[in-house]
Amino acid sequence: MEKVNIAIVTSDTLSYLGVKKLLEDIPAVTVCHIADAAGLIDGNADRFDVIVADAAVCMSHLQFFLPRRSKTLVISDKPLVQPAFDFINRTDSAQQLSEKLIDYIDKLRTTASPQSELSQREIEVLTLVASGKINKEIADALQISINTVLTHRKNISAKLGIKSVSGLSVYAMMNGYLK
Amino acid sequence: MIVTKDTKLHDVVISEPAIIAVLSRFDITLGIGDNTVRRICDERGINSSFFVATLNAFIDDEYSGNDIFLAHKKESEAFLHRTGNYYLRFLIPNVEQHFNLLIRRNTAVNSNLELMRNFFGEVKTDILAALSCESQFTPCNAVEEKLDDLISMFVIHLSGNYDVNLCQAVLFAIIGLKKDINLYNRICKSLE
Repeated sequence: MEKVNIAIVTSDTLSYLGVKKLLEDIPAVTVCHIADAAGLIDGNADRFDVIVADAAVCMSHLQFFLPRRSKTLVISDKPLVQPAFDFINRTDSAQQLSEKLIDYIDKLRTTASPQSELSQREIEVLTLVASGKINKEIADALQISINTVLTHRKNISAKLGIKSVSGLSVYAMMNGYLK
Repeated sequence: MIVTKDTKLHDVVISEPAIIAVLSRFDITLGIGDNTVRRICDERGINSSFFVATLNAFIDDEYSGNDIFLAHKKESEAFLHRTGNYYLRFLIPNVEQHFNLLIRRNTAVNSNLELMRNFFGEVKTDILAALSCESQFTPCNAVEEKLDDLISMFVIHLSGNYDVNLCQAVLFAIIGLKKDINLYNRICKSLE
């Protein structure tokens, strides 16, 4: 993974600015502020490599965050009840926080998912392609542009080594995406 | 390797064994002796320039001798015709037989193999459709893409229980067919 896209999910502006400041020293990182978790849950999550979220946000949307725990870093002031999540302690020193963030992102870069793994959005596009939908229908169904559909299709074919629609249908059936 | 008229044909076969399938369409079978391409072509009445271009095009995807196919249109069309028959009689049944054996010998159910065999059935239909346009020798472009997809399914995505040796046999048969169809398509395109 070259560039790391990070979402900071908090309604606390000071927390957002603090984390953003700490991330400035890390190369190839882009940061996006999401004040309301609903904005993340409504289909935006898969464009982020890391989600830094308030403990309160995380706990109140546990069903959303648990499947994404491998890329979620929680801002807290004590170890979480849910030990599955990595966290940064808001009471730590600036240096400790910075080191923790650098370590977390380095670990993510070295253990990033293999290129062949499809994102959730790519699986949705694949399923629609495999069920015979044309690009316009896919764009309408997922509320994205046709260009975005084309980009997803290109990425899917590159990851799977499968280009034809019927080949993608077979792959979708082999993997249970299509009955 | 680049084949010339002075190359010993057995060197070509040893370097590129899959080329035996192409030679058989010139009625050249194993036990070819120690002769050069020129001598073998002279003895059998084969146009040596066309023969050399065909072998080089099979060996090297980037071979740029396509103008030779157009210059020898009659030989090219005869070769394409023989090639179509060869697919129907040998290469396609070869893949099917191996696929059927693979699925029959599988002790556990592997629905992925069934799906892949069905996909090959679709490829076969496409080949038959292209070959039925006999008068104009239609390239099987979609077939090449689908065979590449099938190869990726075996190489990258295969899972579950299967007989490894038979699986490899199916894969080799598909790769051989794909390479041959690449040659068929290039000669077709040279004649357009």
